[in-house]
Amino acid sequence: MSRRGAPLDWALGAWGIAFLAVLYLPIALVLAYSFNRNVVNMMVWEGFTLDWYRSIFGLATRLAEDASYVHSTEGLVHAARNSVVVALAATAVSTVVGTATALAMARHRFRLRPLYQALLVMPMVMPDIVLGVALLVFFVGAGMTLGLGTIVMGHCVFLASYVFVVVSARLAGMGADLEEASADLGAGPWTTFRRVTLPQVAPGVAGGALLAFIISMDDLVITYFIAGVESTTLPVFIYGMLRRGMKPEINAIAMLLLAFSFVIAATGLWLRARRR
Amino acid sequence: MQSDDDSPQADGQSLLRVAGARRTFLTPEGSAVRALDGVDLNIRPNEFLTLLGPSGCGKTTLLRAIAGFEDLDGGRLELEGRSLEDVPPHRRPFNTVFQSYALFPHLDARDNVGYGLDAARVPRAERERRVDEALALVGLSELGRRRPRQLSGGQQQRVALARALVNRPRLLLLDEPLSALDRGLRQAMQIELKNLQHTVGITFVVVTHDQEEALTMSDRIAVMRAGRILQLGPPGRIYDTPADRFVARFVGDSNVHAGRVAAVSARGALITLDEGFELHAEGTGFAPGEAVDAMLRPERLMLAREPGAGPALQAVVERVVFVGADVQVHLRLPGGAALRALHRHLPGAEPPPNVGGQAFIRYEPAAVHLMRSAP
Repeated sequence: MSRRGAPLDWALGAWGIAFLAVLYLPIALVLAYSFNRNVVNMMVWEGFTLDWYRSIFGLATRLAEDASYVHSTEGLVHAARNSVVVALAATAVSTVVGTATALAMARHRFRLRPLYQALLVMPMVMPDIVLGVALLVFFVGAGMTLGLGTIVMGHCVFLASYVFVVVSARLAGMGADLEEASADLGAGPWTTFRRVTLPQVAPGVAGGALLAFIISMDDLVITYFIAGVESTTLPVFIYGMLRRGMKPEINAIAMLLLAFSFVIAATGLWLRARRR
Repeated sequence: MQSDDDSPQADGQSLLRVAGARRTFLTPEGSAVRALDGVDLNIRPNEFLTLLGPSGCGKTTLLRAIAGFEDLDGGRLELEGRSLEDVPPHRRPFNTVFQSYALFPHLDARDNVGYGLDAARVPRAERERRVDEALALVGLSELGRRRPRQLSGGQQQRVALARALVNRPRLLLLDEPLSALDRGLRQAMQIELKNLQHTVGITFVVVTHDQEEALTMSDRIAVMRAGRILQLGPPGRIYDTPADRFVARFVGDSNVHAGRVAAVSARGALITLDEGFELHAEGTGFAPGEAVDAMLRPERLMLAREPGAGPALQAVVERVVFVGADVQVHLRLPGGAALRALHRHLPGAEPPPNVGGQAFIRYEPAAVHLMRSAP
């Protein structure tokens, strides 16, 4: 290591630490706040408590009646269940559609292909508000009742794009030669798909599905437009809570969501590692 | 001696007949490339046929068309008289050894080899027996449970071979099968492939750009260029009597010079070369005044200090290059023409001539091969 490089190394190291601090300090603060006993000002540490977590799950707490705003856990649990149902349904549909589209685009040449490709990626770059308004106008115009069904449909519109992009990236590294080899050895198109294509793209499909699931669970803006009265999802529910004031329970909910995302991501990594 | 006529009508025995095959590709720039420009070929049962040519000559396109991966724009493919036009690749009784091997990375060697048998719904016991046989044939019995990435390049190549052979195809298609191997292994595999073909009695069609490989392995070679077959015949005939200057230069080392037939007599022909020298050739059906290309193989030129009884050319030695068993001597004729001769490098033999010195190039008229003048 040369002497002249030392100040630069130091500056780069400091920059790296500052970058990580800006990224993770807010999350660390939320984690700390979620265990803070201070009811009035969550930014002043008063002592450790699990009350905010207990309150979410409707367990006995030592909090005053007005300190928490999850008056019944019913609404929260209901919203969480809605979110999971929507995410599972939308993930299933968009994974099949996105994967099939990626395969078709990668394996066939046809007219206006670049145009189709652009149209497929469009929902990802379109502002959420525009997509939300457009979906709302469409569903209302078509005379549909807003509810879980419309949320699932709305999510599929943009989740299929994400799956398409992830699976396409996987396919980009693969020539058609394995599929040709399979056909050459006498396997029909369906056998080739089942025994060669699918095992090859499986990591991409799994990655796309996990991404779709997390995005669906997380989506607020589009869901806000197309959710019915009875079909609140978790992000919409939390947003509704926030409008009634910032209370410490929100920290605990955020931490639970973070833990849930970690579990999903870790599952994905574990599945990928196991394939090796 | 077997007949090796190029024309499909000439022999009755035919496994696969290619007639008037045409295929044009559009480049991204929009220009058309004729990958196959009217190819006629008769593949015989149990022969080892090589498609030889530089990259872009259409040899791989022809192989892929036979396998069914490329459609023809015109012409026909017939397996024992039945058209293959509407037969998809998975219904053709051919198997391919791909240049990249295209082994299934998620299956071990046994399951790769057994893949075609599974697709054909071969019963379990027979499948296991045939997989064992195929792996034994290529000497990989011990490595059946390895995944492709745990095998060396040469071992992967053998798995690909076993995977194709286990199905007992009517035709085995091999696309540059040895190009990914290093030199020593490649030479060993050339012999091994030839032996294997003999053992299994399956027709092999091999695509290669390596003329040495083609000469070593083949019963017949089809030399291709720009979507056409220039010459089809056994290696010896291709080497000794190439059809034109392209074949002469592509197969083996050669001296090719353009000229004209000056005179024809009962004893032979006199050729005047454009670069200002003369060659004596045996009479070979060319008329006086006709434009020809004359070929001399370097190993058939003898260098001497004196002109001998036969014809000879006087030249200056420009360079002497040691190439192992032989010494390559670069010579310059007074008119400017360059020739290469091979001087066998043996103990006790006459040493190669000195650089800058004079030498006489002796040759026999029979060594001068005349070809149609090519553009």
